[in-house]
Amino acid sequence: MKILKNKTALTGFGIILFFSIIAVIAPALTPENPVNSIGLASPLSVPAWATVFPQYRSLPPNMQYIHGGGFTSATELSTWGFSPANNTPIDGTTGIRYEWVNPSASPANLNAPSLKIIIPPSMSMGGTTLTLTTEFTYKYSPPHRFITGFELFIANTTTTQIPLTITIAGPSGNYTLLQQTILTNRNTWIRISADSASEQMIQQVTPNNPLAQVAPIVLGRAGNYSLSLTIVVPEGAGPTVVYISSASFYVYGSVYGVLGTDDQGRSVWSQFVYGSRTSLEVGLLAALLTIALATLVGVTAGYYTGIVDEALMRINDILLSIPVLPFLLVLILVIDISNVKIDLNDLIILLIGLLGWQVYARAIRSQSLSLRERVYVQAARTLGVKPRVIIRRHIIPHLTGLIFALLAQAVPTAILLQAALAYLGFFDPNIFSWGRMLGEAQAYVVSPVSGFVWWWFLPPGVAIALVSMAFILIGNALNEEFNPKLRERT
Amino acid sequence: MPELSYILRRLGYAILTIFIIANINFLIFQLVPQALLNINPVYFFVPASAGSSWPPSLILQVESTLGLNQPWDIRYLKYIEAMFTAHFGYSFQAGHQPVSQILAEYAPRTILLISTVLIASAITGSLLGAKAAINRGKLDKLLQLTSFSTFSLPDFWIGLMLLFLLSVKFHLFPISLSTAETTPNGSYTGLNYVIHLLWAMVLPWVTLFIVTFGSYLVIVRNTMINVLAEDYIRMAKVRGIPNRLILRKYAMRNSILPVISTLGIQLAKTLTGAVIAETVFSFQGLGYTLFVSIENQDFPTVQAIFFIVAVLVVLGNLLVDITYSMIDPRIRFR
Repeated sequence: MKILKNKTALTGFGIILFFSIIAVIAPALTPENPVNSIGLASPLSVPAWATVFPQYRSLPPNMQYIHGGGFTSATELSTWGFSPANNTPIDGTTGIRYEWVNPSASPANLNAPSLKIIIPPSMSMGGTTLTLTTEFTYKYSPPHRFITGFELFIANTTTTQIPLTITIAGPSGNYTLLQQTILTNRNTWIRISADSASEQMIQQVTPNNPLAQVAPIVLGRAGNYSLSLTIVVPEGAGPTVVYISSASFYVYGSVYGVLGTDDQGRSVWSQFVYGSRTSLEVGLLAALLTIALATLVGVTAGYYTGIVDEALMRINDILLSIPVLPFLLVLILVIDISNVKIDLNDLIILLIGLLGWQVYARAIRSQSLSLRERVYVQAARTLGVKPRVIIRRHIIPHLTGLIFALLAQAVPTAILLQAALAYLGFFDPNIFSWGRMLGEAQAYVVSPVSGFVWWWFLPPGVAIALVSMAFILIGNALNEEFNPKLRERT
Repeated sequence: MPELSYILRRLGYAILTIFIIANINFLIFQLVPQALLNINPVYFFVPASAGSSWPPSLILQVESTLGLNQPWDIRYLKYIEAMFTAHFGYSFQAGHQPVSQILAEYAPRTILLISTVLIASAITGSLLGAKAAINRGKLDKLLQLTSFSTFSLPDFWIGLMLLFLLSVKFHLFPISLSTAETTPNGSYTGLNYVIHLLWAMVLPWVTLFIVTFGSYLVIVRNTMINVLAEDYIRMAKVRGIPNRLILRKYAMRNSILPVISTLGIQLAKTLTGAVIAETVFSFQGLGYTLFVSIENQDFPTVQAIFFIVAVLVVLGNLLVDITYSMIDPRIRFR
């Protein structure tokens, strides 16, 4: 095979191999689901490596700002400030105590390490107010969103209302993020959390502006912040024990992963990786179908000649005068309203495969016409060999080269058509393809607000171009090998 | 001039093709949905909400023109008649405009767009292809690679890049036809309108040009390489005819014949590209309207555009055939 010595064809094989490997090992390359994993980071986050460029340098990554996310070990207690301090007597009697407990000692079978606070009964007006404070440094530009929360277990012999408050203090001011009252004695762990994107927090931080973005206000400037949880044990409550198993202040970053995120905070990299599967699958299957049909039509017309040939080529010409994309759109529309139960991706493969054979059938026909006049074919015919056998034994084998060349040409056509359909909004919502990525990114590409979302828009386009180019180069090399007319002439 | 009988034969063939395409339309929109899926064909011409939004006389008129509530054979005859007399019904979108009016407004833009692109890219592609064939070397490799890249890049991707760079970023071109056409005081008229229409057409034109010229380049290159190896070229060289003259009179003439014979296929391809280019640049031609009509399930408009687009290809082919027979007399006697 000369093709294995052709440099451009080898490049083509290399590219296809590369993307095939990506398609095969997709789950190993990315843990995220391309369709469902919404909100992995802020919408339209740039890739993590893009922070080497000055304009992205100060963007925050996804990060947990509370060390260890709570009280994973006894030493974590030292990163917290407690008020009143450990062993401070309450009402002159027993002291308040803060201690770390190991997983087996946590209540209600949570089996997690936690902070245990033992509060003696309080008789004074206003009860006992205790505050836990931790500090962190935020050194990036304002984030898009953060979530803070605690997981608590409050044990008290009586049923009491206990107000909880989460506040933050820092260079951009002091804000109350959450005020919530919980009932004691429910014997379960309770998670309190505050999302900067939630209505409650917007109401809490900017009561006059329900459309405000809270996160950029609260974390408006780089600097040191302190986050506090305040628990008020009311007057008259009996001895109270509070367990806290986790404490979190999580900032959704604006840089994420290998290729950033899309408008819903999904991983573009995972879409890209899984998209290679779809695009290659559609390209190969549709092209196989197309070429199979073209071979059937072309060989039949070319071998039987006469009226069969005439009829098939007339049909061929008529179908050639219908532009493919409008035809596809119309068929998809009619099938769509007909409630036919078919997977949209399979339908697209089927339709692209069924509609594109005309040009290829012509090429195969003219080759078959010349093959049928070869001496050995004539001899076979004279000997009374059945046409079917002649076609199988003597015609098809000599068409192999041409068929492969045409197959290589049909793949990029199918990939590009699928991409065009996806761009126009016809794609299977359950899977990603490169075309769908481009279709979903396009609104942001031309929007002056978001800027050019290059990490989202460029990779699928370049990938489609590379894969198409690879097949075209291989097809061209095959064509030159099997089509003696095109060989180098001097 | 080609013989009249040849022209008549091609014309007859064109009409037959249009007739068959009208049949395909009938199959897609009436027979198959009704026979296999039990969808009332009325559905494709009178919207479900027509009772409240369409004047009753309009509904009656559509039903009688297309024989919608009659047996399929009568409906078939009426449908074919309607397609050939441009009675495409009324748009489902607001204003229930006659579809033929919509076509009359949008088709000229698309015809202007694709015909100029087709000619320009055929000429440019052919010239570059000839250059590549004559200079087999670096230039040939470069030109081949260029045309392969234009085959590989998605057309809407190229379009969106142009739209972003030239319209959004540097404001050199309008982002859509309607933004180009309207002023704060209303729409442009007369010459001003034409200028702004052409201005809005530049980017879709360039996009279509980029994705189409490569095929001609490859065709002419491959043909010319063969032609240059023919005996009559060698003979001409031996006779001492200047190289320039050989290339122009002997080689080029013979090499562009396959270009002309594929123009018909290229026309269909260019129309496919026009759907994308018009959609990317919101250039209200047939392609853009087809896309919008499909989104709105505006069946009468979709049917009509689908039909008209195929008719355009057939007519384009007819024109090509006649031109071809003028250039290459051999074709007339085939």
